Order: sequence, then structure tokens, then C-alpha cells
Amino acid sequence: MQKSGYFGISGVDKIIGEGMAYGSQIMIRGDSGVGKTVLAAQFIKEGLGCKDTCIYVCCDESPHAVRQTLKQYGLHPLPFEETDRLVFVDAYSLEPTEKYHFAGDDPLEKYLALENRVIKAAAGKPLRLVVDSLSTLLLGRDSQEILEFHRYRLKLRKKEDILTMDLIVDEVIDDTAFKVSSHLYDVIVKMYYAGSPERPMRALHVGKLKSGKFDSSQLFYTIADKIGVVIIQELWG
Amino acid sequence: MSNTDFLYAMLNNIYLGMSQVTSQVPMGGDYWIELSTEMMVERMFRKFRHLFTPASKRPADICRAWIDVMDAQGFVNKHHYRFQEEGDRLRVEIQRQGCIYLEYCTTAREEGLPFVCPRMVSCKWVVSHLTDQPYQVEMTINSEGNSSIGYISPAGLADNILARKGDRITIAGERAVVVSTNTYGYLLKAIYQYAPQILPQVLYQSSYSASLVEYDRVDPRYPDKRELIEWLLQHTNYLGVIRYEIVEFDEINKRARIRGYGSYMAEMFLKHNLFLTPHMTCDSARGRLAAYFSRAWNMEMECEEMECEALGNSCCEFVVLPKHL
Repeated sequence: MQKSGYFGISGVDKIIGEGMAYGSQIMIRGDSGVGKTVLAAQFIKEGLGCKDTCIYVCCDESPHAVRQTLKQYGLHPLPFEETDRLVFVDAYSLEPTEKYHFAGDDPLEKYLALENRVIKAAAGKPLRLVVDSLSTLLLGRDSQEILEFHRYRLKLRKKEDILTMDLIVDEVIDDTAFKVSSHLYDVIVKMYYAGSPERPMRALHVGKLKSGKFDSSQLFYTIADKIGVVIIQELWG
Repeated sequence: MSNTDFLYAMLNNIYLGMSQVTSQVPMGGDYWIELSTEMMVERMFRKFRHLFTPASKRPADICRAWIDVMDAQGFVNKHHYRFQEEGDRLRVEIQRQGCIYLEYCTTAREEGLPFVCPRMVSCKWVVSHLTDQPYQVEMTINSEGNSSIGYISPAGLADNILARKGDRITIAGERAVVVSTNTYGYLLKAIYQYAPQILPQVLYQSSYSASLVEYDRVDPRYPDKRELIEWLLQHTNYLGVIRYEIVEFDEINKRARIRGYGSYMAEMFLKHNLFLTPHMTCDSARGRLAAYFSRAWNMEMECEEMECEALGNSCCEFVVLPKHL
């Protein structure tokens, strides 16, 4: 039986149903501070719990900060790093701090080569890849370059059966490039603030574009210490 | 073999038999051997009470008087015993040479069976009985040396972790209930159905908090931290939860690696489909180990499960490390 992957977030996983085939591509989009990194941390925690190898590309924060986030949500990364089941790529720091480092202003081909190298080192194992956030990596680049990079990269990752999660901060990428690249993903999770300005609430919805299904249910969520994103409707049964 | 030698051999093998039984029965363990020994001592004490004349009600005098009784019967040699009071503790040194329980002592240790020293427990019971205070035994056996050294000290709160009094079973002094994995499984399933995301954290946190209590109850009995943790883990095994094996215990770097066999959590998650896809399951064990080591090494420790029987591994494997790393 082919292995399926989940987010590790009940409510979201229910919508995914049978799970995501390895090779699926997920886009997590939303405003800054809405909880995309927390969701990514849960995705990594879920992956490690299933014995996947996980690669986390840090573009918006240092690997150290991401490690702290993982700890905050109940996962100590060190034993997994020591056994090469969790690998950080530092695409944030100016100077290399990790084995794998990418300088943000280098060409995208160079990034792709680095990503390929990291993936190759973990070949043969079920793999999850998180880029947090891809929009930072693409910032200030030409739309055509972005689209070519995006198409080629996602095709590669699909072929390699890698469960890929790209985080996108809304309105950072050019609108056309964003719309076109959205179609490349199998699953899109949109995270946003709902409710009134006085009483904002976090909400998300999950789109399954490739399958032609789209779940428009608005799921309200909170972020709980040690757990992460908790869908409020799930708590109420 | 003389008649006496034969009887001593039989006595040793009765003890070994008891140890075997207590290692196999659910919730067995050295506590039951201790209890059996105490009951035997109580009967012997009643029979020979008329010969028992302690100089005072001090533990050292009580023990000397009791050993005198047994020496007079030719059962032990009183010159093999030394008693010395150290504060509220009584240091007991017993020469191993000529100990009639030597076969039991060495064989039980070789075979990894539960063991209590009948001579030490015998003294402890008489002290407890005469002073009307609970006492406990701490013991170190130097197999290379000529003597065994133990302490008989006030028991305080250090209740045995698992005990039964009348209709009540207690774990670390708290009332315990025995439920089948089926019953417990349905309880977990109910939590899983209503709030699946919180289940791992509930299991981790509840086990963590309960294990701190267990540790604190047993802590005063074992100055050696490894010995203390081994004792606690062995008793978890007696509960039928999981059989732990310490693979690495690095007190300097504060790292430990522990294997677990026969995890009930893995079995239960598989049986009751408590996940969408096969997953590490032993959050209770993680909580327990994090708690024990946090106390033992006096810093906040975390535990991660690296391998799990629920994923088809032959055992579960846990790594314990400081949170701040």
C-alpha cells in the first residue's frame, strides 16, 4: 500500500481524507504572523513521527529560531538532526551557520542545486521538504524567472515522490506569478484573520485543486502551546 | 551433603522460586518477596519472643537481640553482624562468608530476578514491629568484598511503588485501578474522537506528572541515580506497561538512551486505530522518562521516541536529553 502523508492537524487532515501521496505539493499562504511556521512545524513533527526524513529550508528566520519553534510545539529537534532525519538549510543568515547554506541573493539555479544536493543525501527514504518561506526566496526576482524555477522545481519534487510544502507570505510575490504558480500545487491552505478588527480570529481553508475538489469550509483555529494549530471546531466535536 | 546443608539448599531454592514467581506474575516484584519474608519473620518472632531481650528500644539494640535469638538456635553467627547507628539510620554490615542465603543472593542477581536480603529484611521487620514505625532497607552488595552493607532507616513517605492492602492496590501510595487494555483503549478512543490533537500531549503530560510523584516517593531510598531509575523502570515492567532497558546512561553529558519492549501504547494504537497512518505512539513512555530524568539530573529534560513498535520496529527507542540543548 502506498504511504500517505498528513499535516498532523486534525480537521485539516479530515479534509485531506485519504491523505496526500508522496510527491504532492502543498502551498501554505497567508499573512505574516498568522501561523504558517507553526503549521509547518506540525507538518515536520508529523513527518518525524512517521519516520520520514524532513528538510527545513529557513528563509525568514535562522535555523536556531526554527529549532526553538519546534521545541515550543513539543519536538526536540536535536536527536533527529543527529540521526539525519531532520536537516536544516540556512537560507537566512549572511554567514553560513549550518552544513547547508544559501545566500539569499544568489541565483535560483544555485538554490535548486543545493536543494537537489540535500535531497540526494537523504535519497531512498520518505521525504518531506518545507521551504519557509518560498516567497522570501523569490523576492525581487523577475516573474519569468520565478515561473520557470517554480515549474521545474515542483516537477522534480513530484518525480522524486517528495511531500513538498512551500510557505508563501501573501502579496510578496507579483500577482501574475502568484496566480500561475498556485496552479502547480495539489493542496493549498489559506490562513488568514477573520472576525471583526476588535475581535480578530485566525481561520483557514483547504483547497484541493488538482483533484477538482475544493473545501470552502472556514476552519477557525487557535495556536496552543506544546501542540500548535488546533482547529476549534474539532475541539467542540 | 549433610541434612543441614540440604535444608539450607532447599531454603535458598524456596527463595529463588519465590523470586521467579514474583518476576512472572502481573504486578510482581521484590516487594512481594519482602512481604513474604516479613510474614515468615513475624511467625518466627512470635515463636521465639520469650528469648528476645533487647537492652533498649533503640534499633541497634533490637537488631542485636534478634540476632542473638537466631544465633542461639544455630541459624546465624552473631559475630558476622555489625550494627552502628548513624543519626536516625542504622548501618548494618553482614559478612557474606558463611551466609546461608549466599546461593539465593548470587543466583538471583545472576539471573536478573527480584531480590531482597532476608537477613536485612528480618532485622528491619523486628525494628519496625518494636518501635511501631515503618522502616525501610537500602542495600549495597559488594560481590568482590566480604560483606554486604545496608541501612535500616525510617520509611517516611517512601512507600513501595506497588502494594496491595486489603481490597486496595496502590502505586506510590496512591490508589490504583487495574483496567484491561480494551477498557483503556476505548477511553483513549473517546478522547481521540473528540480531540485527537490533544491526545499525545494528554498522554505525555499525565504520565510526566504522575512519574514525578513516583520518583519523589522512591528517591530517598536510592542515593545512586542510575539504581533509582532502574528500580523505577523495573516496576513499570511489573505493571505490564513496557519493559525498559537502559542502553546509555551518560550522567556527565546528561544523555540517556532507553529501549522499550512490548509497549502497550503501540499495541493499543494499532488495535484501536488511533492514528490516520502508522506513527510513533509511546507518548506516555516519553513523559515518564522525561520526568524521571528531570528529577534525577535536576534539570528540565525531554524525551523523544526515535523508533516505535507501532511502526514495525522490534522495540521502541527513546532518547532523553536536556531541553536547553
